[in-house]
Amino acid sequence: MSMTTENFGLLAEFVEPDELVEATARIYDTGYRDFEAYAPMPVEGLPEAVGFPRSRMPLVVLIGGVVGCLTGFGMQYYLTVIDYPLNIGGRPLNSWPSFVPVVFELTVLFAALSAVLGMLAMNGLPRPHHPLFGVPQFDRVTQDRFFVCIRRTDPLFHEQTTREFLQRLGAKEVIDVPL
Amino acid sequence: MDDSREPTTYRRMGLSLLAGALGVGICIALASHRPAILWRAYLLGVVSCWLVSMGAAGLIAIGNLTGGKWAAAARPYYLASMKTLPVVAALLVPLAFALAQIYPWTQANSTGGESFSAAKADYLSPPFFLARAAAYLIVWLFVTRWLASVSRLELLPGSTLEMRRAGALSLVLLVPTVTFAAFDWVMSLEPHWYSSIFGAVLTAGGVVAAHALAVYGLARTPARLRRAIVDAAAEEVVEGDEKQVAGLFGDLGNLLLAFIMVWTYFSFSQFLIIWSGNLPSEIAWYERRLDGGWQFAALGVVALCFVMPFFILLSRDVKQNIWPLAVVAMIVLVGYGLNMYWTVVPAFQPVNTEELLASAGAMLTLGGLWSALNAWQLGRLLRTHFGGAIDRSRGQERC
Repeated sequence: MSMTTENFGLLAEFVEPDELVEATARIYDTGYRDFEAYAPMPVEGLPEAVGFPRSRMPLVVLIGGVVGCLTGFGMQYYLTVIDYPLNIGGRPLNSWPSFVPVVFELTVLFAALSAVLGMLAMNGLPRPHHPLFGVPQFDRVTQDRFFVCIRRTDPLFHEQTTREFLQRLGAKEVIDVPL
Repeated sequence: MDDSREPTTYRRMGLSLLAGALGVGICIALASHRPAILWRAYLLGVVSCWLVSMGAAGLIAIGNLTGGKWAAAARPYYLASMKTLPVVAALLVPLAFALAQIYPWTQANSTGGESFSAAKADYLSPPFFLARAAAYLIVWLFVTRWLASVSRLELLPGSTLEMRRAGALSLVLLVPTVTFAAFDWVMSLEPHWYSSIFGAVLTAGGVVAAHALAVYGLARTPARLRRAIVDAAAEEVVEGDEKQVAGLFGDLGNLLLAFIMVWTYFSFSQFLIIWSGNLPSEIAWYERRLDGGWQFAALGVVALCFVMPFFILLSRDVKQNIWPLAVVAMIVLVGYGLNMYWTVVPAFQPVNTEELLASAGAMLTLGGLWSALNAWQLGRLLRTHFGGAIDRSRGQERC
């Protein structure tokens, strides 16, 4: 193929999940970093093999929750104390016990929204197209095949040696991914 | 050391009995000439233990219904708490002879006494009160025996039809009886005040305490024995896989967090509604509990039962590690005790120093006695079902 000089990377296909985990671990140990594994279901041990860093999602959700909490309180405080002070049954203007339900709801809402939006942002979504969609064999990733793709941008990437390396790992097939 | 006992529970029994003896000393020294004070303090102590036993029964019923690893691993600890109920029931009996010393409604509608509507006076008449109490006890003794007989400890995370059936019916029987017992025994200390969520507030506290005690118990169990319990609760055993233990503790920590939030939700709902209404007959209950120094106890309850455990349990590292989780469980247990004290003692107006100290002493006495009994039951259960693992762990670990 004449496209080989300008491809996205090399895609290796595996039949068994254990093969994928083992191959992925070997790829990581060899020093590759710019690669990604794909499977039709959660595979135990795969995230560790890919070398996933610790997720920053909990921090994002926590910040979302704190912002929601402050928003809920600030909004009610501003309304009842500053913008439109109203004497209700002789209670103090800053009657915080009655603020609590709204503060709680907004905390949950903001935390949940930041979880959804943070998940999308960190996964690089939405993403209408990906070069892997150009590989016909890749369709089976949602059914019964397991893949790992090493990108050309990886400093260790070499057309010939990487291809041979993947073949030695027991790949059923090593496929060029067109850009 | 008596070698037929599992070391952790043996030690806890000793410490508990020591605390109990200290409590007896305090009570006798302070209030032996004031039987009314002693009786009220005794009521506080027994009710505090009773709620934990009932909370454990509820947790076993829920665990039998849902199944799950958490339920299987925590079951021995819940069972040890639930099986104290016959003793708790026996400890409740003497209160029947002291109603007049404890409850102001016994003098209802008499000259110089409180005045109630006819319906309330009928409901709070000593014969009806005692008949209800007897009915509750019969139901609970039946339910706990049934739950104990169907709950199999050596079981995998599933549950049998028998267990689910017992779980469902037990919950149906427990919820109304415990709610009404809470109305009768605690809420009627201030007979003009009422809150329909009060039973749920107390019950949730008992569930939180029973679960915290199970978490604490599992954390203090020698590692090899704990491993045997976790393996028995797992679907498949992976040799040397520490993630399974971490995952299980994560589940138990999440449950503790959820129960704490439910408890806070009930307690705060009651407060918010009464505070918003601000009616003299209702708000007086909170005025007695948020004034004259009691506001500091209230702040302590909020800190120990909500703020501290909530923020600590948000972290996954804490939930999946054994000793930080044990610390949180201990904080919650202390908070539970303080909450019971704050809920019950201000009802006895005017509260003097003797009453304050004797109440604390009685909680120490009955809590100590209950805890010793609980540790004894736990040791027995673990020896019977995980005896092999105890033999292997003996001599290697002494907590």
